[in-house]
Amino acid sequence: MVDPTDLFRHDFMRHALISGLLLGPVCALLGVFVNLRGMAFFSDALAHSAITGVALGFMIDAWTGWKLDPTIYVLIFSCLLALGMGWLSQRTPLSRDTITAFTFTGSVALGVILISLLGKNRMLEGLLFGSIFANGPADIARQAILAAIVLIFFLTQLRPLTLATLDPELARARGIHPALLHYGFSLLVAATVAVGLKMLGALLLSALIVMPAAAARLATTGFRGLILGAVLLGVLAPPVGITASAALNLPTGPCIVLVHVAALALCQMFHLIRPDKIAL
Amino acid sequence: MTTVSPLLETRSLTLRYGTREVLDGFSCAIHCGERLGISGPNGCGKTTLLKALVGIHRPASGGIHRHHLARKPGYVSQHAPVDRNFPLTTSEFLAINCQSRIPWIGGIPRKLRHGICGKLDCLGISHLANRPLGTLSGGELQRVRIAAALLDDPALLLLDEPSSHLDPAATVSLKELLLHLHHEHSLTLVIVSHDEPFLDGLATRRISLAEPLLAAA
Repeated sequence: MVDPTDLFRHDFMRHALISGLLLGPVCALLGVFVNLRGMAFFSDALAHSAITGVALGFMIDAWTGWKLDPTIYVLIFSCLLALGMGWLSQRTPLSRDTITAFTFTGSVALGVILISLLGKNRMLEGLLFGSIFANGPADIARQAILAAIVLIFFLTQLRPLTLATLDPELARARGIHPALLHYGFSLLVAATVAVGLKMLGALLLSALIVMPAAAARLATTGFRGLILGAVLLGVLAPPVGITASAALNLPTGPCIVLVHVAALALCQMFHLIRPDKIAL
Repeated sequence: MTTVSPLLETRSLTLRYGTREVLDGFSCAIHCGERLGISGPNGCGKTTLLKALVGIHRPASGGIHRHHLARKPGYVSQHAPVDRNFPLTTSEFLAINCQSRIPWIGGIPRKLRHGICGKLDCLGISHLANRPLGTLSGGELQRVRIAAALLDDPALLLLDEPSSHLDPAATVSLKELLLHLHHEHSLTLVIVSHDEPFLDGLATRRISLAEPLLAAA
């Protein structure tokens, strides 16, 4: 068992902590609108489809002799997939949910076949569960750039995005372009998935996006409460999860997710007893 | 606020949804201080016309001339598609409707507080400021939506079926409110409604889209 007091003595632990503190609040902030816009399945699908991005990257590297960072391939693939799903949803009578479902299953199936053809089956576990301790300075730099972009997006677009989420027609009347905002937001989710894949993996990443905002929504009133609550949980969960994982010698990604599950359960209990809740 | 030229004027306006024509060759002038009621059966193009006047539906042909006072009209859309669980308070809803570049992270920014509180006060709904949108009644929500539409002090307010989903008492109250706004703030009103009794006494001029369109203009 690792002594939790050793947490900051090792580079890999410090890097993991910094990654968690950068990605946690970014995912939580995006999660507010992922929840409000009913895009939880979309973010889950993007996270899983990232497997295909990695596999395609390996194939392109093998054909061309390039040795690009897999994150670049995942970023391009996730962004194209997000734009493709948005484009298709406006040109078919099928629901967004249905489009997400077949894109999700289709791309995961393709990714698994490609990985199998490449003989890299052992890599699947890393893609599914991630490894926060494998984060290096380059990963942290990418996460910091992503955090800055997300912060700027929300500081400048929070008001139009909120109005477009609540009432797209009213937003249009106010000179806002809801479709453009949707594409911009979807691209940010795709970029976050690409950058965060190494940390938590495809299976757990969407939990980091969806859960903090879901928990905050149960325990707060008003929009400011929701944003601050989600970001607070996003900041707190990674250090707590990493510390618990180190102390108990357990996998880190699942520990962070279980911290979010515990927070969600507590917020749900609070919601059941709070006197000012909205009757459903 | 008076002007000789019309606030809004449509000339031979044709509106389509895809290939389906909903309005053909509609011409009409809306003057300052008017209270125009537009009625007609379902599907005759009332809502589409209002959306075109607001600028969110592009005409297939014809033109809409807007006086500079009507460049940014207030608009209250037909349905209240407010998710009852959407975590916004009334004042936060008004804050996201403000045409301001002040950064917003929930709540009411200090610089917007005066304007928002003033509008809530003007519509007699100050007591709703901190209530979540989801807890408002239909009548209260309609007043909040009108307050949001009036935030930038428009000269023209367009309302689409404002009395739908309201009980008789709330409908009477809404009618009194619109008349009050018209008299106190010289607000020009364009009201689309299939509710003829609601338009009685409220509209100073009526257009029925069931009638020949050019004749109505």
